[in-house]
Amino acid sequence: MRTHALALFLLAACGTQDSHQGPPSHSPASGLGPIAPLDDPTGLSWVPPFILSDAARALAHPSALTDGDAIDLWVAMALADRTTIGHAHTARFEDGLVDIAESLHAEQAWEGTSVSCPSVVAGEGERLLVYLANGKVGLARGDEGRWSRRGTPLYADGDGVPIRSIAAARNGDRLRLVVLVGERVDDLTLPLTDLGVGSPGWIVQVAAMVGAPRWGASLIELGLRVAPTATDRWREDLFFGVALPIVADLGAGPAPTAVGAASRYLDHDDARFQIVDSPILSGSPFARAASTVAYRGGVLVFYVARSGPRDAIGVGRWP
Amino acid sequence: MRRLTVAFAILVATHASANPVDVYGLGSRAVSLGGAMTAAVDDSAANYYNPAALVRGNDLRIDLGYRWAQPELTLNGRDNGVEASRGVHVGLVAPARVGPFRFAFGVSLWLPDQHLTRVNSLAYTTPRFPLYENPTQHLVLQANLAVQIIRGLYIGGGLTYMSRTQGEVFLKGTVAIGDPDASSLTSKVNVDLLAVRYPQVGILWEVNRHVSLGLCYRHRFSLQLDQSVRIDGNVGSPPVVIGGHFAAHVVSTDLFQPWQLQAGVSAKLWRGLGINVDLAYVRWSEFPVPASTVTLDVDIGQFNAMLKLPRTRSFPAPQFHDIVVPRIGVEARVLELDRVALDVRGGYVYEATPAPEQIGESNFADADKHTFSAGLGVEVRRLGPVLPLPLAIDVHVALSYLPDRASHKMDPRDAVGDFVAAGVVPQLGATLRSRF
Repeated sequence: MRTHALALFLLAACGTQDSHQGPPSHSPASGLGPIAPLDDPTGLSWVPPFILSDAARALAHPSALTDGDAIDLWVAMALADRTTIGHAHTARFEDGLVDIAESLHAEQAWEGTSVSCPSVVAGEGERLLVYLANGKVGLARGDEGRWSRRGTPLYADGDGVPIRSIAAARNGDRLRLVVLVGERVDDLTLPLTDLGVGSPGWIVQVAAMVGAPRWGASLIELGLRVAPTATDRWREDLFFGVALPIVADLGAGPAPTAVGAASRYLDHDDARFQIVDSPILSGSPFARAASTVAYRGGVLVFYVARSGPRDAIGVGRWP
Repeated sequence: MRRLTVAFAILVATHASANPVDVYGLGSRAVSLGGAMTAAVDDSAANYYNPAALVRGNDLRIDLGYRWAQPELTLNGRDNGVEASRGVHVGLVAPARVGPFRFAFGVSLWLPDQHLTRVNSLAYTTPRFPLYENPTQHLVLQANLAVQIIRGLYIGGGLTYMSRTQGEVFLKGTVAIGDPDASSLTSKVNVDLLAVRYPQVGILWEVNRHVSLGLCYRHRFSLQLDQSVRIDGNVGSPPVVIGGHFAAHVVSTDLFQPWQLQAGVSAKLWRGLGINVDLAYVRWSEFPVPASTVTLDVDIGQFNAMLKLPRTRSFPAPQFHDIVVPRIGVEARVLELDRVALDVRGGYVYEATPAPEQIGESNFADADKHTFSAGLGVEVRRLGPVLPLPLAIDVHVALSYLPDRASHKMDPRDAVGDFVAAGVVPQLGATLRSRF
């Protein structure tokens, strides 16, 4: 046993020598991180890194929007028989996200019993809630408490394979959507003016990500960010949860996961996402998914990780 | 027992380039004249600007000064945390004559009041301003000798001394994996502060009473950081490895100064109005790869075969390029009384950045530099038998302005991403110059 422990220790130590470098000490918040979970409780009325948890429901797939100091966060809430979308709000980051309320549940025939993978983007004077239901993508417009749903799926074509996860972002006058179909990430673009009824004319790029993370086994959740760099070029970052390869019998409990990222510049419409060589969220085993928002000159990163018996929402900050 | 030894370059870079005198100048009069002093210097600052000028005067000179500079450098608008550089300057010029043969000895000391020397290795990818960090935090000692060849023609040269560290850390004992309380290590530390030298030579020709020409060469130098760590002992409790060891030897470039050739002309035009112009060629293209070379030596007996040591990795050359730096300084005597005189000075330097746009993994931030300087010099005469010769008090202010410079990363996955470097560097100083 001791022999194996020593060998694992040495292998792990050597592995870190060749990995991605640590965070710059005073970095500009322009690149892709890496990102560390928040660990300093100074000035906070909650204990980092978990900013939102629920005693009865596992939380997943965070999606955040900010308005000044205020933060709105939408999450998928898993119950025994269904999943709904919940919402929490705080006027200031320091106060934390305390109360979570149901924001959307399945009620249309095509949605089946569950709605999940919320991605909320700011539209023209309204918010757009893009969600996953029954392997298809749905859309609700409006605001908290008065969502108005599109009657039919916004996107349903996964080559006959159910869509497993989605993420949306706004890029100017277009809605950007990435969907996880099997192990493939497809990339879709739609003018905001085409969100109404009828059949949207999506521009689809199949297999928008180059390769697959060499350190992971299976993609599980997506997050998307469109943001300008410091030089006003536009870049699109794709965050994904990855189930890690099982290398040993760990007994009961969740399988290990990690958060990865891929990125591309938006200079060319056909550019594909390039995967970052190693996980970007360090120091948080079993983390997955990620939603990022610009906040007070930096970037907040909301992610899913195990807190006690259930998944909760942790937060990291960069730089 | 088979050993595993590997040498490789790791992603660690140091702040490298120049020294505090190169970056901020020496002496208030010189700085206020934009450093255009190769042909104009006549005090202890000649130890840096042109050693040949040490023999220009006949008086013993002792200069004492203080200088402060606070870089306010930003990356994407965020302060990069570059430390202030401040310290004391002491200079001496001792002329002598043996028959018709005139010569002078000079020494100059820059003594920072924060760090006598500083080593700060950051990850290779860490954004930093390499020309403003470590280089400005070092002790600099210069010693020169100058001789007069013929009347009005002087040559001089000497050495500049800086310091470097070399150290070893030894640990010996038992490392109990998973049971820290059972570990037992004794340590021995051996660190030396060593001197390094580089030469400078100069020539000065006083063409006539109004015009002087100067030429000065400062050699390149590189400060090496040399550190070793070695752990000898048993691993495990009870031991599973007996007599194992782990050794790491790290060698990295801590400072680099390119060789420089500086030519200058000084002209005294009319009634105390003088103008100095310098042109320097700076050989930045020899800037070395700022990565550390690490040699690992591991011996853990039966587990050697299980080790996967990192592969050797080579880094691209930093691709700095040579630059030509123009400097101009103007000095005018605006007040001339029996016992007091007042000089007003101004200067300008344009220093193009030698660093290329950072499009890859490295993040060596820099930008073109425009330095505007101004100063006053008060000369007080006939202070009594102790100071029969004039005493000069010089003060200067200077501001280096670095306009926005953008770096666009080729790889969208870059951890740092695109950045814009910019900033200002305000500087203040005063020097007391005395002659005996």
